[in-house]
Amino acid sequence: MDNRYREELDRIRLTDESKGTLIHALAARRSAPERRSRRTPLRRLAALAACVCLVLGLMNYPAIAAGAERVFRYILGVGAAETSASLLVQGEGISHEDGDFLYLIDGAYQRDGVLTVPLDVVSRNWISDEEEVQLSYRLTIYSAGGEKLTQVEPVGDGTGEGFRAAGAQPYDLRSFETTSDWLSQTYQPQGYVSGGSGWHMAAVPQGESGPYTFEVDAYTSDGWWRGTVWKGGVLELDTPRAVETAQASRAFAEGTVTALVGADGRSVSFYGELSPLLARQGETLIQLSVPTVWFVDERGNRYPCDQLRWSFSEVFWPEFRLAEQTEGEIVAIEVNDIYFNIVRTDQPQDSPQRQYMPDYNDLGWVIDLT
Amino acid sequence: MESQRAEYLVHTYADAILRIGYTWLGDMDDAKDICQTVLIGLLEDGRTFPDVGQERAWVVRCAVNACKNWKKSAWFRRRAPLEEGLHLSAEMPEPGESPLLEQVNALPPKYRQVLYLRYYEGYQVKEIAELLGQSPALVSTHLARARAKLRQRLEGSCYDG
Repeated sequence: MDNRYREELDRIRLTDESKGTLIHALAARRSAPERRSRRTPLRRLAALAACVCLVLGLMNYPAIAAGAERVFRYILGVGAAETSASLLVQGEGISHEDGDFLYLIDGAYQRDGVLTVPLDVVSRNWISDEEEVQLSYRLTIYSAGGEKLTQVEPVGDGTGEGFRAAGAQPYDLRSFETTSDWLSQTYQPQGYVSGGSGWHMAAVPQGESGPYTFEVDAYTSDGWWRGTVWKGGVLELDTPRAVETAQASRAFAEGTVTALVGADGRSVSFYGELSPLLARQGETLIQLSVPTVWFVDERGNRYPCDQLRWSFSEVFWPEFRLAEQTEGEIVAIEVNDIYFNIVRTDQPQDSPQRQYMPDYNDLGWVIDLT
Repeated sequence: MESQRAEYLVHTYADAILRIGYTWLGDMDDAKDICQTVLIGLLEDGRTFPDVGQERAWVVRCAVNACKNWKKSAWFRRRAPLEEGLHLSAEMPEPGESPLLEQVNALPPKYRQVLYLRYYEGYQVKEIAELLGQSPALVSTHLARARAKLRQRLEGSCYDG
């Protein structure tokens, strides 16, 4: 099929006129005098900026203040967390089986008046080969006194409307055949064949520390309620216990990225700190992404692992946990790609210069654990 | 100089990146955004390679990574790589003009991707596995299933396996 496929695919091409337009735009962009950003403004920026403000405002996160030294520790399931943070974390993970589906909550935590709950969904059902299934889940949480907590959703739904009124979060349930993340590595051996992850947030009254009760409702992608899939769940939080870690850092033009590696080498979390100069200029790192790392064992085998969750940096820093059995001890972790997502708070919310996303590829950063 | 570099990159790689974007994401508008994003990255990176083959491999890798990120993060989906007013047009085969491509495009992304890398770029299974972060065994499985599905769908036509 080689030639025929190639010939047919070759017929997809940009028009000559578009290529001319593209060359002109690229050359103009390249020669522009003010080019702090390596990436350009976001679409529907105003709505997204509102989301960011909600996150930063609601959670009262300490800004990455110029000159302020921040000390981090590694909480398994949460990732990097500042030692100064007022933090309560979930101890043991909890789960609930509903038919072919298994629901898991592991790594929930409460910080500065906001409860963040990651919810994983795995299924024994094959995802259709023809389409990937998207469901939405809503997590309704009640305080110890039975008061329903207000759900907050800082991430827009991609339509630019900002917030999802119902509080349901979309989940992409993907076949484990196509993923190599912690979820698939952990649950595929147990007979689960697909799954997805998301996270939910709720504002908690001052002084509230649980235990919380909750229920999970499922919706189809077009908004139809499918049913309550987890009733009477109880979520208990406790003071956190940090993982003993080894630490390695790498400097970039925008700041420093630090890896906190669990003592057995099978888990790692990253956090980023902007350079003092950028921080003084009012810039804030809202997202640090490390899409994939490779765990390397003493025999040289490389085990790819995807980021556990994607979200704002201060909600979850990138974390990786290797669930796969290895032939030998893990002796190194390789990192090739790192992405920063930075907001310039000195720019108006509707300014195209407000947000930029420098990225680094082919880093070849090897964290030696020997 | 910059203009020459931009011209070289667009003429050499824009179509290839567009095809990767379309194959990965299944949407021509997203593919155009990927095309812009990757070209900006290539232009800013400015690295040189000893030969065209290595350069192309790097471009393919950048494009594949851009597509993976596009799919993974809502943030990355909302990027408008160049100014809002830049509307690119692409030529596409009319319906019925490219029966094999139409069937390939109807396959799930995981199958389209391995087919592209194997049969368009000519990569070996080990290279595809490395690029996609998957095991060679899984890549082989996907290739076999993709070919089987194509064979099934094109039965009676001139599919030559």
